[in-house]
Order: sequence, then structure tokens, then C-alpha cells
Amino acid sequence: MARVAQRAPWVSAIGWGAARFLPIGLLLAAWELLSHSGAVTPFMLPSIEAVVARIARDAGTGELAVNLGLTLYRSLLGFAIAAVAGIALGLFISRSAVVRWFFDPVISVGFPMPKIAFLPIVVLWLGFYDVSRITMVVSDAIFPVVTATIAGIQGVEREVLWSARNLGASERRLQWEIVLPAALPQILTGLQVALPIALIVDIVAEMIMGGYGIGGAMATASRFADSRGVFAGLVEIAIVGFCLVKAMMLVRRRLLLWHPEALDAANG
Amino acid sequence: MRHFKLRLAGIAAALLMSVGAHAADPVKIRAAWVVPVANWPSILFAKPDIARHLGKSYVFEDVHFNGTPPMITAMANNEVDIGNLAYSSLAIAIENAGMDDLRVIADEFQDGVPGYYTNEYFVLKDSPIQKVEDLKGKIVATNAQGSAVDIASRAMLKKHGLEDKRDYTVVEAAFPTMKAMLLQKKVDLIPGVPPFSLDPELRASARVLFTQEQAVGRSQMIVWVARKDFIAKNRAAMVDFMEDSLRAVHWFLDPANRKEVLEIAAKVSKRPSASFESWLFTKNDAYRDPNMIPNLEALQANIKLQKDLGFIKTDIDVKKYSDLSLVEEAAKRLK
Amino acid sequence: MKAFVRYSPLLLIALAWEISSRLGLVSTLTLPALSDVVAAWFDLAKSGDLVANAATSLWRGSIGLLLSIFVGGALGIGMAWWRPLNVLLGPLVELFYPMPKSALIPVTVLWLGFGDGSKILLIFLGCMLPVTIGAFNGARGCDRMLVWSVRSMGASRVRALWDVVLPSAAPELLNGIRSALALTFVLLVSSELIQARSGLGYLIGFLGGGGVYDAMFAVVLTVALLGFLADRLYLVAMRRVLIWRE
Repeated sequence: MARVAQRAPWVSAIGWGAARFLPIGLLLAAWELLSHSGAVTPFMLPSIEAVVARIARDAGTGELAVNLGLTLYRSLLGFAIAAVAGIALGLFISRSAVVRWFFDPVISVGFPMPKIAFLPIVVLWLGFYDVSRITMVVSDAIFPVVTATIAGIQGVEREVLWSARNLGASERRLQWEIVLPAALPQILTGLQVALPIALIVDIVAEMIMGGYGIGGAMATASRFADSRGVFAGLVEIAIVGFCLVKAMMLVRRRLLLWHPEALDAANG
Repeated sequence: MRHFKLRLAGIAAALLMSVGAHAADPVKIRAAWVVPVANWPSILFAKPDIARHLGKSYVFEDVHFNGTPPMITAMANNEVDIGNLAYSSLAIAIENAGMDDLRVIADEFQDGVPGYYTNEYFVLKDSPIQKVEDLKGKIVATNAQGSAVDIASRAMLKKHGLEDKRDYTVVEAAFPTMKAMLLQKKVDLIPGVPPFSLDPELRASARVLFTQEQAVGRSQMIVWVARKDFIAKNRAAMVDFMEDSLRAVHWFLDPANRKEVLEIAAKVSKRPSASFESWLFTKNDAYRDPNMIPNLEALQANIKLQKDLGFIKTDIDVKKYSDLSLVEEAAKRLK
Repeated sequence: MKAFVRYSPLLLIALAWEISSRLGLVSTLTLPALSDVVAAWFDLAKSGDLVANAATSLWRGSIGLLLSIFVGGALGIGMAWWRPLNVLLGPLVELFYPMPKSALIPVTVLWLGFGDGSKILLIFLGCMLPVTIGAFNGARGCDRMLVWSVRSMGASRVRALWDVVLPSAAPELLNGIRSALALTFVLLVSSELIQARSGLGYLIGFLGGGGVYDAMFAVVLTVALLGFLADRLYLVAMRRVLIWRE
């Protein structure tokens, strides 16, 4: 790292900027070459231009905006609920022995449970509409948030708590001013894991239930052996997901300006 | 376990063969299925000793798929050799996936053959829906838009002047959950296929509004398909395989073997054998041709209807995409 | 006795399940009573199906998980400490995070076919998410002053990584692995659901497709139970590691 910093700053800035696109460029090149090589049919792997044309067409008809909007709405709302509920639950579990007694084994069983098997039941209870999908999202995305919150709070050093208590801090202030900030890096890690999971679960639920949304569009496309539609969906998810993951990283950086990791970010 | 035994039998047979002079490698034939028991490949060789050429000229693998789309992907990638496709999926694979080398090689089952079962479309017994026109403004359940079962209900509703989106709403649900959807009034019309349509609780509280036969006549519902190159390359082994398949089909359809058939069905599907007793391989079941010959006229009519409803764009001449020589040759040997 | 009290919430939930389905609060059309599920479980276990399929699934799952721990962990720490790696691989990794792994099947089939390889790849890709993010954030959160002082005392880069970075990344990394462990069980089901000849996901797929819900939930519970056991074992091991660290 030290060596890099010694070069002229603008040279390295341009270099790094270009390097960022290198792997994606290689991936696209490999895709394009393979799709034109004759080794695969357009059904097995459609060419990039065909997929892009498809996305452009869907954008033109407004279909893309509707599907994208619905998918984002469902997964982000589900994520938000999972985030708030997950952090709250993690806090309660860390603080109260009764809550911990109840939820500790439940989390151990619930996290690895293939919850998608319950989708038909959820649909029967909550109907064919958004509530069912959002419930599925919450039921999967909440777990990494809870475990990260617990692990984060566990990691808060006892000495810090003791000295704060000795200085006369109230329990309430302790939670808000010491425990939560100290656990924040790990909680944010949990959220960073939960966000892609929220998107994935929503899309999978859409694929199974059909209807609008990127997942629904992909399921329809795959049913009609429409590879362009399937790959268009994959590309859309990749772009949207990439932006969400990046946005989450920015949020993390902003919230952790005081933390050692921000030092590195500031340098580059 | 079933696979394990099959594999053992295969290994034993292969060992015997290697003692002989011509120890050519048997051809691996992989066949896809979706519904256990109802799809032949899931149960075909579950009766031991029925397949005489198994392990000699070919070895057999049955592969479960969670629906047709991944099956078409698998066929395109040569990951499975015999597909188990509804006519609707066949046309889609030919037109959209560009797989013009697909060949229909055998029948799996047909709907609406006189004297046999035809799929039924149910409404609640006390529902105000008395005729198809009454479905205006209602919620119609389907297993998957564009599927063979879906095409029949669309065709029926269209005959009575009702169009999807304009006159009724379509929602998707899996066949096993249809009963609950109807009984809990989440939907107004459900399609019923065996064994779900034969459920006593469903029949007690629902009534049949129309049948698939009334909607579209006879349907060549599901066919076996293989790719042209695979057939050409492995013709001898494929005829051997079809011969064994015919022998198995005859055995399963023979009432004399009823008890053992039900036991096998129960074992493969993990359902009680009583749940098959009233219908499986009888007149209450869809028609399965004992010689596995598909009805190409029905198939042609089905695919034309699929086009009329807008699910595919081109005319497909099914004769061009059929190769019944394997199953016919195999049938000759059994005589 | 201690264990009984500890895990009694699970019994409470089981009891609530049984009572609600017996009283008809939940439709047994889609959620069979727990006692029926347990009975179906014994049938499956007796026939040998459960053991054989669980063995296949666990084998696929362990390989996928182990790969994700080693590759994901190394990638996360490497990306935090060596900028070229972050620049080159970061975008690629981030691109694949939010993909539903089962939607990637048309792509993976081109390369690995439909065998074990593609299933292991899907599990590996899915499990990498928490491991890599945990390792990356943990390693970046480590105190720079500490690293600089160790380095100025003449420790090599590798030494500093081993003695300072790894221990400080450990809590986040270990929690990431815990999430990955749980996800393994979710993913092995979804990777076997689409297409398979064996495995717990295969059982769930065809039992659900045939409407044999008591047996299907028996398999779902088996997956959850295996995940539960794995998680408990892991928590014990993790506690050991963290104590040793202090």
C-alpha cells in the first residue's frame, strides 16, 4: 500500500479506475466469445446484444420499470422490517435472559430451515399478493441481522462497560451510547449479508408465485424457453443488486467514520 | 434404494457381460420425470427383472425435475436424453429454444380418450357459478400459464366469450395446494388432475364445471422426446430400451399384477397404496397407450390450439418432429 | 435437565403446532399435524431413504461450505489488505452476491453440467457472501496503529497479517461462518430441488410435488434439525476459539 501511494496520485487514480472495470470486461468478453463460438445455441447462451436489446425493449414498454419497482419495493420493505426487527430482537436477546432462553434455540433451528417449503402455507394465510412475498423476505433476512447483533454486543469489551458504569452512566445511556455504537460494525455486517438475501428471497418467491416482478418475468420467460428473457433478468438483478450492495457500503462508511476501518477508506 | 438396486443389477450384468467376448460399453440413457408414478420413468424398472437388456446394451438413470423448463435446459445441454414433455412444452422447445432436432418417440398419457379419465375443473358446490359465463370477474387458478392444463381452461373460457385479464384473473398455484385454495375461497375455479382431483374431501365439497375433454377434445398430454442425433447414434440400444419399456408398461397395466403394482407405486411415491387403488392404471386414470404409440392427430390439434391462443407463433408439423420407428420396432420384437 | 430447560422453547413451538392443527386453527390441508409428520419421518427413516439422501446432501453441503470458508475467508482478508485484489475481484464478487443461486443454473449447466459439481458450486457461491463480507469488514476494522507498530518492529507483512489482522477479524469472520453454515442447509435444498437423483432437496421436491406434505415436512424438519445440530456444535467450537484468543 505504501508503494502505491508514492506514485503520482492522478496516474494511480486513472489506473485503479480502469482496473475496476477489467474483471467485468473480461467476463463480458468471455460471454460474448462463447455465445458466438458456435459451441452453444442461442437458447443455451444468448449473445449480449440480444439480451441488451431485450432489456431496452422492456424498458421502452415500461414493463421493466413496473417489474423493477415491484421487486425493489418488496425486497427493500422486507429488508427494512428484518433490519429493525432483527436489531431489536438481538438487543433483547442480549439483555434479557428470558428472551434469550426462548429465541436462542429457535434461531438455531430457524436459520437453516428451508423456509421456501412453507410458501404454500403462507400464501393460503396471507393471499397471493405482496404480504406473502414480504413475509418470506423477512423470515429469511432477519436471521443474519439477529446473529450479527448478538455477536456484536457480545464483543463489546467488558472493561469499557465497567468503566462507563463506574462513571455513573445509566443503563439506557449505556445501551445507546456505548453498546450499540460498539456493536455497530458487526450489525452493519449483518445488514450487508441480509440485503442480498432479501433480494434473492423476493425473486425466488416471485418465480414460484408468478405475476409481476423481475422474478415473475424470469419464471415466465423460462417457461416459454425464452433465454433472452431469463438472461435479461439475470443482468437486471446483477446491476440492481450491485447498486444496492454499493449503497450499503456507503452507508457503512458514513456511519463508521470514527472507526479504524474508515481510515483506510479515507486513504483510497 | 431403488436406484441402488438398479445399479447393483447393472453392475452384476456388466460383470457377466465382460466375461463374454463382446464387452461393448452399454449406452447410458437418462430419462426425466416430474411426478412420481404418473410419469413412467419414475417407476418403469422398479419391478426387478423386467428389463432384459438393462445393464447389457444400455444402463438407465431416471432424473427428477421440478417442472419442465429445467428439463428443456437439460436436454439442450445433453444432460438428459429422454424428456417427458407436455405438448405445450414440446412446441415451446421447438419454437423458442430452437431445438428442431427433438423427436417424439413415445406416448406417456392422453386425456379425453373415451372411457378414460379427463381432467376436471372444479368450483365449490355452493358457489353461484353454474355455467362458464358466470366466471366473469372471478379468480381462476392455474398450475402454470401456458401449460397444457391452462390451455384447456383458457380455451373453454374463450369459447364462452371470456378473455384473461379483461374478464377474469388468473393466479398460479401448485396442483397439491389447489384443493385448499378452493375450499378456503381464495380462488373460484381450480383445475384437477389425478390423484388430487380424486380426493374424497374435494369431491364432497366441489362440483365439476367442465372437463378438459369438453374444452378441447382429445389431448396427447405428455410425450417422450429424444434428440435426433442421440437416436441415430444409439439406435440399437434405444430399441432395446423401448422393448424393455413396453414390457414394463404391459406388466404395469395388467390387472393380474394389481397388488404388486400398487405396492411399487406406494414405495416410489411414499404414499399409502390405498391412495392409488381406485384409479391408477385403470379406466379412472388417463389413457396410457399399451404400445406407447402417441396420437399424432390429437397432438397436432393441441399444438394448433396453443398457437390460436397466442402461446406460440409458428405452425408446427408434428409429423416432422416424430420418430415412432423405435417403439414400432420394439413392439414387433414382443410379438 | 439443563439441556431440557434450554431447549424447551422448541418443545413449546412443537406443542403449539400440534394443538393448532388438531383444533383446526391451521388447515391440515397444507400443514399436517406434527404427529403425522413424525410418523412419516419414522417411515422414511425405516425405508433407508432418509439416511441415504441425507448422506449425499451433507457431502455436497460440506464441500461447498469448506470451499466457501477457505476461498471466501482468504478473499475477504486479501481484499481488505491488498488493494489490487479488492479492485480486481471486488466488483465481480459484488455482482454475484445478490443473484438467486438457483437462477444461475442455465449458466452453471454450460460449464459443469447437472451433476454434483453444479450443486456444490451453487452452495459455495451462496455461502461465500457472509464469509467474505465478514472477513473483509473484520480485517478492515483492525487497528492500523497496531499493525504499523508491529511492522515497524520488523515483523513481516505475513507475520502482521497472522498475528494482528487475523485475530482482530476473527469475531466477524466467525459470525460470518455461522451464517454460512446455516445457509448451507437452505442452499443444499434449493440446489437439489430443481433437478436431482438424490439428496434431501430431491426428496422435498418430489414429495411436495406429489402433495405428500407429511413426509415433505418430515424432510424439511430433518434439514432444520441437522442445521440446528451443526449450529450448536459450531457455537461450542467458536466459544473455544474466542476464549483461546483472549
